[in-house]
Amino acid sequence: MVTLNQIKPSEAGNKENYWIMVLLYFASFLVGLGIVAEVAANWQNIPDAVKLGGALVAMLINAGAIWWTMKADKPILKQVLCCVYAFLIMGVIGLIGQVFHLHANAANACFLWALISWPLIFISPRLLWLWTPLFFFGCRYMPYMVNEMVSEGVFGDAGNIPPFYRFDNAILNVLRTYLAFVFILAYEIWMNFADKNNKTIVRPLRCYSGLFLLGMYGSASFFAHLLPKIDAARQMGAYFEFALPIVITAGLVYALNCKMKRKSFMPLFLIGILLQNMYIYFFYKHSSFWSDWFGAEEYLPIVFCVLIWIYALYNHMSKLAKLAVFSIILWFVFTFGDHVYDIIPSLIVCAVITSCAYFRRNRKWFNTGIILAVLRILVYYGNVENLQHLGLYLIGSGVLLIATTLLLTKYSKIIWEKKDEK
Amino acid sequence: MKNKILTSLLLLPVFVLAVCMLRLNYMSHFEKVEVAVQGYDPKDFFSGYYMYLRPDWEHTDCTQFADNVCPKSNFNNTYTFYIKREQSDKLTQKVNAGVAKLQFSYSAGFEPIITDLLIDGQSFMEFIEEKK
Repeated sequence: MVTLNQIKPSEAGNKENYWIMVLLYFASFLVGLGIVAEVAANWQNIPDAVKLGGALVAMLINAGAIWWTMKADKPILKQVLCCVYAFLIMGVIGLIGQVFHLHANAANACFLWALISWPLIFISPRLLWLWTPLFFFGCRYMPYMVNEMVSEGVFGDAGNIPPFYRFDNAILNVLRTYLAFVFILAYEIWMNFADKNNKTIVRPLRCYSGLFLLGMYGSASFFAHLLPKIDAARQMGAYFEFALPIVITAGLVYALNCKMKRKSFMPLFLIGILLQNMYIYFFYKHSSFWSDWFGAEEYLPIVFCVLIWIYALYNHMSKLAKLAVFSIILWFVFTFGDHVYDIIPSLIVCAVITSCAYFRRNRKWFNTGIILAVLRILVYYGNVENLQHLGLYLIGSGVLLIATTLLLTKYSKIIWEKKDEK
Repeated sequence: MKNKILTSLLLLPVFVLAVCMLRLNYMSHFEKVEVAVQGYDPKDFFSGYYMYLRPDWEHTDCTQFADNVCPKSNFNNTYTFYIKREQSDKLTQKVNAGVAKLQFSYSAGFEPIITDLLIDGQSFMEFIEEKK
Protein backbone atom coordinates (compact mmCIF):
# COMPACT_ATOMS: atom_id res chain seq x y z
CA MET A 1 0.00 0.00 0.00
CA VAL A 2 1.25 3.47 -0.85
CA THR A 3 1.74 5.75 2.16
CA LEU A 4 2.53 9.43 2.45
CA ASN A 5 5.90 8.59 3.96
CA GLN A 6 6.79 6.53 0.89
CA ILE A 7 5.83 9.32 -1.46
CA LYS A 8 7.93 11.99 0.15
CA PRO A 9 11.47 10.80 -0.66
CA SER A 10 10.79 10.74 -4.40
CA GLU A 11 9.53 14.31 -4.22
CA ALA A 12 12.43 15.40 -2.04
CA GLY A 13 14.81 13.75 -4.43
CA ASN A 14 13.99 16.32 -7.09
CA LYS A 15 16.05 19.35 -6.31
CA GLU A 16 13.32 21.91 -6.69
CA ASN A 17 13.51 25.54 -5.78
CA TYR A 18 11.22 26.07 -2.83
CA TRP A 19 10.44 29.71 -3.63
CA ILE A 20 9.63 28.91 -7.24
CA MET A 21 7.27 26.16 -6.09
CA VAL A 22 5.41 28.56 -3.82
CA LEU A 23 4.99 31.00 -6.71
CA LEU A 24 3.80 28.20 -9.00
CA TYR A 25 1.26 27.08 -6.44
CA PHE A 26 0.04 30.65 -6.13
CA ALA A 27 -0.31 30.81 -9.93
CA SER A 28 -2.14 27.46 -10.00
CA PHE A 29 -4.44 28.80 -7.32
CA LEU A 30 -5.26 31.81 -9.52
CA VAL A 31 -5.99 29.58 -12.54
CA GLY A 32 -8.10 27.22 -10.42
CA LEU A 33 -10.08 30.04 -8.83
CA GLY A 34 -10.57 31.49 -12.32
CA ILE A 35 -12.10 28.18 -13.43
CA VAL A 36 -14.47 28.24 -10.45
CA ALA A 37 -15.40 31.87 -11.26
CA GLU A 38 -16.08 31.02 -14.93
CA VAL A 39 -18.36 28.17 -13.83
CA ALA A 40 -20.11 30.45 -11.37
CA ALA A 41 -20.63 33.06 -14.13
CA ASN A 42 -23.46 30.78 -15.36
CA TRP A 43 -23.19 30.43 -19.15
CA GLN A 44 -26.87 29.92 -19.91
CA ASN A 45 -26.40 29.97 -23.69
CA ILE A 46 -24.35 26.77 -23.64
CA PRO A 47 -26.46 23.57 -23.40
CA ASP A 48 -26.16 21.70 -20.10
CA ALA A 49 -24.95 18.50 -21.77
CA VAL A 50 -22.09 20.41 -23.45
CA LYS A 51 -21.13 22.08 -20.17
CA LEU A 52 -21.13 18.79 -18.22
CA GLY A 53 -19.45 16.81 -21.01
CA GLY A 54 -16.84 19.54 -21.46
CA ALA A 55 -16.15 19.50 -17.72
CA LEU A 56 -15.55 15.74 -17.74
CA VAL A 57 -13.30 16.00 -20.81
CA ALA A 58 -11.31 18.80 -19.14
CA MET A 59 -10.90 16.60 -16.05
CA LEU A 60 -9.76 13.65 -18.16
CA ILE A 61 -7.25 15.82 -20.04
CA ASN A 62 -5.93 17.21 -16.75
CA ALA A 63 -5.67 13.70 -15.23
CA GLY A 64 -3.92 12.50 -18.39
CA ALA A 65 -1.48 15.40 -18.20
CA ILE A 66 -0.67 14.53 -14.57
CA TRP A 67 -0.10 10.91 -15.59
CA TRP A 68 2.25 12.11 -18.34
CA THR A 69 4.23 14.31 -15.93
CA MET A 70 4.58 11.33 -13.58
CA LYS A 71 5.87 9.19 -16.41
CA ALA A 72 8.12 11.84 -17.90
CA ASP A 73 9.44 12.76 -14.43
CA LYS A 74 8.47 16.43 -14.49
CA PRO A 75 7.93 17.11 -10.77
CA ILE A 76 7.29 20.85 -10.96
CA LEU A 77 4.68 20.63 -13.72
CA LYS A 78 3.11 17.62 -11.96
CA GLN A 79 2.48 19.63 -8.82
CA VAL A 80 1.12 22.60 -10.76
CA LEU A 81 -1.27 20.33 -12.68
CA CYS A 82 -2.37 18.57 -9.48
CA CYS A 83 -3.26 21.93 -7.97
CA VAL A 84 -5.21 22.97 -11.08
CA TYR A 85 -6.93 19.54 -11.09
CA ALA A 86 -7.98 20.03 -7.47
CA PHE A 87 -9.63 23.33 -8.36
CA LEU A 88 -11.12 21.87 -11.52
CA ILE A 89 -12.84 19.16 -9.43
CA MET A 90 -14.20 21.95 -7.24
CA GLY A 91 -15.40 23.85 -10.30
CA VAL A 92 -17.16 20.77 -11.70
CA ILE A 93 -18.93 20.18 -8.37
CA GLY A 94 -20.12 23.79 -8.59
CA LEU A 95 -21.18 23.24 -12.21
CA ILE A 96 -23.23 20.15 -11.31
CA GLY A 97 -24.91 22.15 -8.56
CA GLN A 98 -25.65 24.94 -11.01
CA VAL A 99 -26.99 22.78 -13.84
CA PHE A 100 -29.28 20.73 -11.59
CA HIS A 101 -30.13 23.69 -9.30
CA LEU A 102 -28.98 21.88 -6.17
CA HIS A 103 -29.18 23.58 -2.81
CA ALA A 104 -26.22 25.97 -2.43
CA ASN A 105 -23.99 24.90 0.42
CA ALA A 106 -20.24 25.50 0.28
CA ALA A 107 -19.58 23.13 3.20
CA ASN A 108 -21.28 20.23 1.40
CA ALA A 109 -19.34 20.95 -1.77
CA CYS A 110 -16.07 21.05 0.20
CA PHE A 111 -16.93 17.77 1.93
CA LEU A 112 -17.60 16.02 -1.39
CA TRP A 113 -14.44 17.56 -2.82
CA ALA A 114 -12.36 16.33 0.14
CA LEU A 115 -13.86 12.83 -0.23
CA ILE A 116 -12.97 12.44 -3.90
CA SER A 117 -9.78 14.46 -4.26
CA TRP A 118 -7.69 12.81 -1.53
CA PRO A 119 -5.71 10.66 -4.04
CA LEU A 120 -4.05 13.85 -5.25
CA ILE A 121 -2.34 14.21 -1.87
CA PHE A 122 -0.39 11.03 -2.60
CA ILE A 123 0.85 12.49 -5.86
CA SER A 124 1.49 15.97 -4.54
CA PRO A 125 1.63 16.01 -0.69
CA ARG A 126 1.74 19.82 -0.65
CA LEU A 127 -1.94 19.78 -1.57
CA LEU A 128 -2.52 19.10 2.13
CA TRP A 129 -2.32 22.89 2.43
CA LEU A 130 -5.54 23.07 0.42
CA TRP A 131 -7.15 19.77 1.39
CA THR A 132 -6.93 20.19 5.17
CA PRO A 133 -8.83 23.50 5.57
CA LEU A 134 -11.48 22.47 3.05
CA PHE A 135 -11.90 19.16 4.84
CA PHE A 136 -12.32 21.04 8.13
CA PHE A 137 -14.78 23.40 6.48
CA GLY A 138 -16.67 20.45 5.02
CA CYS A 139 -16.75 18.79 8.42
CA ARG A 140 -18.57 21.87 9.73
CA TYR A 141 -16.94 21.87 13.12
CA MET A 142 -15.72 25.38 12.51
CA PRO A 143 -16.88 28.21 14.73
CA TYR A 144 -18.33 30.26 11.88
CA MET A 145 -20.31 27.28 10.64
CA VAL A 146 -22.20 27.01 13.89
CA ASN A 147 -24.86 29.40 12.70
CA GLU A 148 -25.60 27.15 9.76
CA MET A 149 -25.49 24.04 11.93
CA VAL A 150 -28.23 25.49 14.08
CA SER A 151 -30.36 26.48 11.11
CA GLU A 152 -29.97 23.02 9.61
CA GLY A 153 -30.84 21.35 12.90
CA VAL A 154 -27.56 19.57 13.61
CA PHE A 155 -28.18 20.08 17.31
CA GLY A 156 -31.71 18.79 17.12
CA ASP A 157 -33.36 16.85 14.34
CA ALA A 158 -31.48 15.19 11.49
CA GLY A 159 -29.88 17.82 9.28
CA ASN A 160 -31.34 19.06 6.02
CA ILE A 161 -28.62 17.81 3.68
CA PRO A 162 -29.40 18.54 0.04
CA PRO A 163 -30.46 15.50 -2.02
CA PHE A 164 -27.24 15.38 -4.04
CA TYR A 165 -25.16 14.72 -0.94
CA ARG A 166 -27.74 12.72 0.95
CA PHE A 167 -26.37 9.20 1.26
CA ASP A 168 -27.88 8.64 4.65
CA ASN A 169 -28.48 12.07 6.06
CA ALA A 170 -28.58 11.41 9.81
CA ILE A 171 -25.48 9.21 9.98
CA LEU A 172 -23.54 11.32 7.50
CA ASN A 173 -24.39 14.53 9.30
CA VAL A 174 -23.25 13.22 12.66
CA LEU A 175 -20.13 11.71 11.10
CA ARG A 176 -19.10 14.86 9.27
CA THR A 177 -19.81 17.05 12.28
CA TYR A 178 -17.35 15.13 14.41
CA LEU A 179 -14.80 14.23 11.71
CA ALA A 180 -12.69 17.21 12.72
CA PHE A 181 -12.09 15.54 16.08
CA VAL A 182 -11.16 12.31 14.35
CA PHE A 183 -8.70 14.40 12.37
CA ILE A 184 -7.19 15.89 15.55
CA LEU A 185 -6.82 12.39 16.99
CA ALA A 186 -5.29 11.09 13.76
CA TYR A 187 -2.86 14.01 13.78
CA GLU A 188 -1.80 13.28 17.36
CA ILE A 189 -1.36 9.57 16.59
CA TRP A 190 0.61 10.45 13.49
CA MET A 191 2.83 12.83 15.49
CA ASN A 192 3.55 9.98 17.92
CA PHE A 193 4.33 7.24 15.44
CA ALA A 194 5.21 8.67 12.04
CA ASP A 195 8.38 9.96 10.47
CA LYS A 196 8.84 13.39 12.03
CA ASN A 197 11.32 14.42 9.36
CA ASN A 198 8.64 14.42 6.71
CA LYS A 199 8.24 18.20 6.65
CA THR A 200 5.97 18.25 3.60
CA ILE A 201 3.26 16.62 5.64
CA VAL A 202 4.17 17.88 9.10
CA ARG A 203 4.03 21.57 8.18
CA PRO A 204 0.45 21.84 6.88
CA LEU A 205 -0.91 19.46 9.52
CA ARG A 206 0.76 21.33 12.34
CA CYS A 207 -0.13 24.74 10.95
CA TYR A 208 -3.81 23.98 10.38
CA SER A 209 -4.25 22.06 13.61
CA GLY A 210 -2.93 25.11 15.43
CA LEU A 211 -5.02 27.50 13.36
CA PHE A 212 -8.10 25.36 13.80
CA LEU A 213 -7.68 25.44 17.54
CA LEU A 214 -6.86 29.13 17.60
CA GLY A 215 -9.85 29.78 15.38
CA MET A 216 -12.12 27.95 17.76
CA TYR A 217 -10.47 29.65 20.67
CA GLY A 218 -10.66 33.06 19.13
CA SER A 219 -14.22 32.84 17.99
CA ALA A 220 -16.53 33.88 20.72
CA SER A 221 -19.49 33.83 18.42
CA PHE A 222 -20.64 30.29 19.17
CA PHE A 223 -23.21 30.97 21.82
CA ALA A 224 -23.70 34.59 20.84
CA HIS A 225 -25.20 33.24 17.59
CA LEU A 226 -26.69 30.10 19.03
CA LEU A 227 -28.56 31.33 22.04
CA PRO A 228 -31.07 33.70 20.45
CA LYS A 229 -32.10 31.04 17.95
CA ILE A 230 -33.01 28.15 20.17
CA ASP A 231 -35.29 27.86 23.15
CA ALA A 232 -34.00 27.59 26.71
CA ALA A 233 -34.71 23.87 26.98
CA ARG A 234 -32.40 23.11 24.05
CA GLN A 235 -29.63 25.48 25.12
CA MET A 236 -28.05 23.15 27.68
CA GLY A 237 -28.52 20.18 25.36
CA ALA A 238 -26.78 22.05 22.57
CA TYR A 239 -23.97 22.99 24.91
CA PHE A 240 -23.39 19.37 25.94
CA GLU A 241 -23.50 18.27 22.33
CA PHE A 242 -20.82 20.86 21.64
CA ALA A 243 -18.79 20.00 24.75
CA LEU A 244 -18.87 16.20 24.66
CA PRO A 245 -16.61 15.58 21.62
CA ILE A 246 -14.18 18.21 22.89
CA VAL A 247 -13.90 16.52 26.31
CA ILE A 248 -13.59 13.04 24.77
CA THR A 249 -10.96 14.17 22.25
CA ALA A 250 -8.98 16.04 24.93
CA GLY A 251 -9.07 12.96 27.19
CA LEU A 252 -7.98 10.57 24.44
CA VAL A 253 -5.16 12.86 23.29
CA TYR A 254 -3.98 13.32 26.88
CA ALA A 255 -4.03 9.56 27.52
CA LEU A 256 -2.18 8.84 24.27
CA ASN A 257 0.51 11.42 24.97
CA CYS A 258 0.93 10.22 28.57
CA LYS A 259 1.49 6.69 27.30
CA MET A 260 3.94 7.83 24.63
CA LYS A 261 5.61 10.34 27.00
CA ARG A 262 5.04 13.17 24.57
CA LYS A 263 4.02 16.75 25.38
CA SER A 264 1.21 18.37 23.43
CA PHE A 265 -0.75 21.57 23.95
CA MET A 266 -3.83 20.05 22.29
CA PRO A 267 -5.73 18.85 25.43
CA LEU A 268 -5.21 22.19 27.17
CA PHE A 269 -6.44 24.07 24.14
CA LEU A 270 -9.51 21.92 23.78
CA ILE A 271 -10.46 22.41 27.41
CA GLY A 272 -9.71 26.12 26.99
CA ILE A 273 -12.24 26.31 24.15
CA LEU A 274 -14.80 24.73 26.41
CA LEU A 275 -14.12 27.12 29.28
CA GLN A 276 -14.24 30.10 26.97
CA ASN A 277 -17.62 29.11 25.57
CA MET A 278 -18.94 28.22 29.01
CA TYR A 279 -18.04 31.75 30.11
CA ILE A 280 -19.80 33.22 27.09
CA TYR A 281 -22.80 30.99 27.67
CA PHE A 282 -23.33 32.15 31.25
CA PHE A 283 -22.40 35.73 30.40
CA TYR A 284 -24.95 35.82 27.61
CA LYS A 285 -27.60 34.10 29.66
CA HIS A 286 -27.46 36.68 32.43
CA SER A 287 -26.73 39.88 30.55
CA SER A 288 -27.99 41.87 27.60
CA PHE A 289 -24.40 42.98 26.95
CA TRP A 290 -23.99 41.10 23.64
CA SER A 291 -27.18 42.30 22.07
CA ASP A 292 -26.60 45.91 23.21
CA TRP A 293 -23.00 46.16 22.10
CA PHE A 294 -23.27 45.49 18.37
CA GLY A 295 -20.13 44.08 16.79
CA ALA A 296 -18.47 43.15 20.07
CA GLU A 297 -17.97 39.58 18.95
CA GLU A 298 -15.82 40.73 16.02
CA TYR A 299 -13.29 42.22 18.42
CA LEU A 300 -13.20 39.29 20.81
CA PRO A 301 -11.02 37.11 18.55
CA ILE A 302 -8.28 39.74 18.43
CA VAL A 303 -8.48 40.17 22.22
CA PHE A 304 -8.11 36.41 22.72
CA CYS A 305 -5.24 36.21 20.24
CA VAL A 306 -3.38 39.03 21.99
CA LEU A 307 -3.97 37.34 25.35
CA ILE A 308 -2.64 34.04 23.97
CA TRP A 309 0.38 35.87 22.56
CA ILE A 310 1.16 37.53 25.93
CA TYR A 311 0.65 34.18 27.69
CA ALA A 312 2.99 32.45 25.23
CA LEU A 313 5.67 35.14 25.61
CA TYR A 314 5.41 34.98 29.41
CA ASN A 315 5.80 31.20 29.36
CA HIS A 316 8.55 31.20 26.68
CA MET A 317 6.37 29.18 24.27
CA SER A 318 7.86 30.43 21.01
CA LYS A 319 5.74 28.31 18.65
CA LEU A 320 2.50 29.33 20.30
CA ALA A 321 3.61 32.96 20.24
CA LYS A 322 4.29 32.76 16.49
CA LEU A 323 0.92 31.13 15.91
CA ALA A 324 -0.78 33.90 17.89
CA VAL A 325 1.04 36.61 15.90
CA PHE A 326 -0.04 34.87 12.71
CA SER A 327 -3.65 34.88 13.91
CA ILE A 328 -3.42 38.57 14.78
CA ILE A 329 -2.18 39.31 11.24
CA LEU A 330 -4.99 37.18 9.86
CA TRP A 331 -7.50 39.27 11.76
CA PHE A 332 -6.09 42.49 10.28
CA VAL A 333 -6.16 41.04 6.77
CA PHE A 334 -9.79 39.99 7.01
CA THR A 335 -11.24 43.05 8.68
CA PHE A 336 -10.71 45.27 5.64
CA GLY A 337 -13.78 45.88 3.45
CA ASP A 338 -14.87 43.95 0.36
CA HIS A 339 -14.43 46.63 -2.33
CA VAL A 340 -11.78 46.05 -5.00
CA TYR A 341 -9.74 48.98 -3.60
CA ASP A 342 -9.92 47.54 -0.10
CA ILE A 343 -7.92 44.55 -1.26
CA ILE A 344 -4.90 46.79 -1.95
CA PRO A 345 -3.88 47.57 1.69
CA SER A 346 -4.20 43.88 2.56
CA LEU A 347 -2.02 42.87 -0.37
CA ILE A 348 0.51 45.60 0.51
CA VAL A 349 0.74 44.10 4.04
CA CYS A 350 1.27 40.66 2.43
CA ALA A 351 3.87 42.06 0.01
CA VAL A 352 5.79 43.71 2.88
CA ILE A 353 5.76 40.44 4.87
CA THR A 354 6.88 38.45 1.81
CA SER A 355 9.60 40.94 0.82
CA CYS A 356 11.02 41.16 4.35
CA ALA A 357 11.00 37.37 4.55
CA TYR A 358 12.76 37.15 1.18
CA PHE A 359 15.57 39.48 2.18
CA ARG A 360 15.98 37.79 5.57
CA ARG A 361 15.71 34.37 3.86
CA ASN A 362 12.89 33.35 6.19
CA ARG A 363 10.86 30.71 4.40
CA LYS A 364 8.10 30.52 6.99
CA TRP A 365 7.19 34.20 6.73
CA PHE A 366 7.61 34.19 2.95
CA ASN A 367 5.09 31.35 2.87
CA THR A 368 2.87 33.19 5.32
CA GLY A 369 2.79 36.31 3.13
CA ILE A 370 1.83 34.32 0.03
CA ILE A 371 -0.86 32.32 1.84
CA LEU A 372 -2.34 35.49 3.35
CA ALA A 373 -2.51 37.04 -0.12
CA VAL A 374 -4.29 33.91 -1.38
CA LEU A 375 -6.79 34.06 1.47
CA ARG A 376 -7.41 37.78 0.93
CA ILE A 377 -8.10 37.22 -2.78
CA LEU A 378 -10.47 34.40 -1.82
CA VAL A 379 -12.36 36.73 0.51
CA TYR A 380 -12.57 39.36 -2.23
CA TYR A 381 -13.73 36.76 -4.75
CA GLY A 382 -16.53 35.80 -2.41
CA ASN A 383 -17.96 39.30 -2.78
CA VAL A 384 -17.25 40.19 -6.40
CA GLU A 385 -20.13 40.90 -8.80
CA ASN A 386 -18.84 40.25 -12.35
CA LEU A 387 -17.64 36.65 -12.12
CA GLN A 388 -17.13 36.25 -15.88
CA HIS A 389 -14.50 39.01 -16.14
CA LEU A 390 -12.91 38.09 -12.83
CA GLY A 391 -12.58 34.44 -13.93
CA LEU A 392 -10.83 35.41 -17.17
CA TYR A 393 -8.58 37.81 -15.28
CA LEU A 394 -7.61 35.14 -12.73
CA ILE A 395 -6.94 32.45 -15.35
CA GLY A 396 -4.93 34.89 -17.50
CA SER A 397 -2.81 36.16 -14.64
CA GLY A 398 -2.30 32.63 -13.31
CA VAL A 399 -1.14 31.27 -16.67
CA LEU A 400 1.14 34.29 -17.11
CA LEU A 401 2.63 33.71 -13.67
CA ILE A 402 3.14 29.99 -14.38
CA ALA A 403 4.85 30.75 -17.70
CA THR A 404 7.06 33.43 -16.12
CA THR A 405 7.97 31.22 -13.18
CA LEU A 406 8.77 28.22 -15.37
CA LEU A 407 11.01 30.44 -17.48
CA LEU A 408 12.54 31.74 -14.28
CA THR A 409 13.38 28.23 -13.14
CA LYS A 410 15.72 27.97 -16.12
CA TYR A 411 17.64 31.04 -15.01
CA SER A 412 16.92 31.04 -11.27
CA LYS A 413 20.05 29.13 -10.36
CA ILE A 414 22.15 32.10 -11.35
CA ILE A 415 19.98 34.51 -9.32
CA TRP A 416 19.87 32.42 -6.14
CA GLU A 417 23.51 31.37 -6.32
CA LYS A 418 24.49 35.03 -6.51
CA LYS A 419 22.29 35.81 -3.51
CA ASP A 420 23.84 32.95 -1.54
CA GLU A 421 27.32 34.22 -2.36
CA LYS A 422 26.40 37.60 -0.86
CA MET B 1 2.83 -0.70 -9.29
CA LYS B 2 2.71 2.42 -7.12
CA ASN B 3 2.30 4.63 -10.19
CA LYS B 4 -0.46 2.39 -11.55
CA ILE B 5 -2.45 2.72 -8.33
CA LEU B 6 -1.95 6.48 -8.29
CA THR B 7 -2.94 6.81 -11.93
CA SER B 8 -6.14 4.86 -11.40
CA LEU B 9 -6.90 6.94 -8.30
CA LEU B 10 -6.58 10.06 -10.46
CA LEU B 11 -9.73 8.96 -12.25
CA LEU B 12 -11.71 8.61 -9.01
CA PRO B 13 -13.06 12.20 -9.10
CA VAL B 14 -13.97 11.84 -12.80
CA PHE B 15 -15.81 8.59 -12.09
CA VAL B 16 -17.66 9.85 -9.01
CA LEU B 17 -18.72 13.12 -10.63
CA ALA B 18 -19.76 11.35 -13.86
CA VAL B 19 -21.96 8.97 -11.82
CA CYS B 20 -23.47 11.98 -10.02
CA MET B 21 -24.19 13.66 -13.36
CA LEU B 22 -25.83 10.54 -14.81
CA ARG B 23 -27.94 9.93 -11.71
CA LEU B 24 -29.15 13.54 -11.60
CA ASN B 25 -29.80 13.51 -15.34
CA TYR B 26 -31.90 10.34 -14.92
CA MET B 27 -33.79 11.94 -12.05
CA SER B 28 -34.48 15.08 -14.10
CA HIS B 29 -36.51 13.14 -16.70
CA PHE B 30 -39.43 12.09 -14.49
CA GLU B 31 -42.94 13.50 -14.81
CA LYS B 32 -43.05 17.28 -14.40
CA VAL B 33 -44.90 19.01 -11.55
CA GLU B 34 -45.19 22.75 -10.81
CA VAL B 35 -44.90 24.23 -7.32
CA ALA B 36 -45.58 27.91 -6.53
CA VAL B 37 -42.66 29.70 -4.86
CA GLN B 38 -41.54 32.86 -3.05
CA GLY B 39 -37.93 33.99 -2.54
CA TYR B 40 -34.87 36.23 -2.89
CA ASP B 41 -31.40 36.04 -4.51
CA PRO B 42 -28.01 35.62 -2.80
CA LYS B 43 -24.77 34.17 -4.22
CA ASP B 44 -22.93 30.85 -3.87
CA PHE B 45 -19.12 30.74 -3.80
CA PHE B 46 -18.86 27.86 -6.29
CA SER B 47 -21.90 28.11 -8.52
CA GLY B 48 -22.60 31.85 -8.73
CA TYR B 49 -25.86 33.75 -8.24
CA TYR B 50 -29.10 32.03 -7.48
CA MET B 51 -32.62 32.68 -6.27
CA TYR B 52 -33.48 31.23 -2.93
CA LEU B 53 -37.04 29.91 -3.31
CA ARG B 54 -39.50 28.55 -0.81
CA PRO B 55 -42.39 26.32 -1.95
CA ASP B 56 -45.75 28.02 -1.46
CA TRP B 57 -48.10 25.07 -0.96
CA GLU B 58 -51.17 27.24 -0.47
CA HIS B 59 -50.96 28.37 -4.11
CA THR B 60 -49.87 25.03 -5.56
CA ASP B 61 -52.24 22.89 -7.61
CA CYS B 62 -52.27 19.60 -5.71
CA THR B 63 -54.33 17.77 -8.37
CA GLN B 64 -51.11 17.11 -10.30
CA PHE B 65 -49.98 14.72 -7.56
CA ALA B 66 -51.28 11.24 -6.70
CA ASP B 67 -54.53 11.23 -4.67
CA ASN B 68 -54.74 15.02 -5.22
CA VAL B 69 -52.51 15.53 -2.17
CA CYS B 70 -49.37 17.71 -2.20
CA PRO B 71 -46.46 15.53 -0.91
CA LYS B 72 -44.92 18.37 1.12
CA SER B 73 -42.62 16.08 3.08
CA ASN B 74 -40.97 14.88 -0.15
CA PHE B 75 -39.86 18.43 -0.95
CA ASN B 76 -37.29 20.59 0.86
CA ASN B 77 -38.22 23.76 2.70
CA THR B 78 -36.06 25.83 0.36
CA TYR B 79 -34.62 25.49 -3.16
CA THR B 80 -31.98 27.32 -5.14
CA PHE B 81 -32.35 28.33 -8.77
CA TYR B 82 -29.14 29.52 -10.50
CA ILE B 83 -29.42 32.60 -12.70
CA LYS B 84 -27.25 35.40 -14.04
CA ARG B 85 -26.82 38.40 -11.76
CA GLU B 86 -28.43 40.82 -14.25
CA GLN B 87 -31.54 38.62 -14.53
CA SER B 88 -32.22 38.48 -10.84
CA ASP B 89 -34.00 41.86 -10.48
CA LYS B 90 -36.62 41.09 -13.16
CA LEU B 91 -37.21 37.59 -11.84
CA THR B 92 -37.34 38.68 -8.21
CA GLN B 93 -40.13 41.13 -9.07
CA LYS B 94 -42.15 38.32 -10.65
CA VAL B 95 -41.42 35.90 -7.81
CA ASN B 96 -42.54 38.49 -5.27
CA ALA B 97 -45.70 39.09 -7.34
CA GLY B 98 -46.56 35.43 -6.82
CA VAL B 99 -46.57 34.38 -10.48
CA ALA B 100 -43.50 32.14 -10.33
CA LYS B 101 -43.52 28.37 -10.17
CA LEU B 102 -40.71 25.88 -9.99
CA GLN B 103 -40.99 22.97 -12.38
CA PHE B 104 -39.73 19.72 -10.88
CA SER B 105 -39.01 16.31 -12.32
CA TYR B 106 -40.83 14.23 -9.75
CA SER B 107 -41.34 10.58 -8.99
CA ALA B 108 -42.26 9.13 -5.61
CA GLY B 109 -39.23 7.67 -3.85
CA PHE B 110 -36.76 10.05 -5.53
CA GLU B 111 -35.67 13.55 -4.65
CA PRO B 112 -37.47 16.11 -6.88
CA ILE B 113 -35.04 17.73 -9.35
CA ILE B 114 -35.64 21.32 -10.55
CA THR B 115 -35.96 21.53 -14.34
CA ASP B 116 -37.20 25.10 -14.90
CA LEU B 117 -38.53 28.28 -13.35
CA LEU B 118 -41.88 29.25 -14.85
CA ILE B 119 -43.03 32.88 -14.96
CA ASP B 120 -46.72 33.22 -15.87
CA GLY B 121 -46.55 29.70 -17.26
CA GLN B 122 -43.55 30.27 -19.55
CA SER B 123 -39.91 29.31 -19.05
CA PHE B 124 -37.82 32.01 -17.37
CA MET B 125 -35.46 32.03 -20.39
CA GLU B 126 -38.36 32.92 -22.70
CA PHE B 127 -39.51 35.53 -20.20
CA ILE B 128 -36.05 37.12 -20.12
CA GLU B 129 -35.83 37.07 -23.94
CA GLU B 130 -39.21 38.82 -24.20
CA LYS B 131 -38.14 41.52 -21.75
CA LYS B 132 -34.97 42.39 -23.74
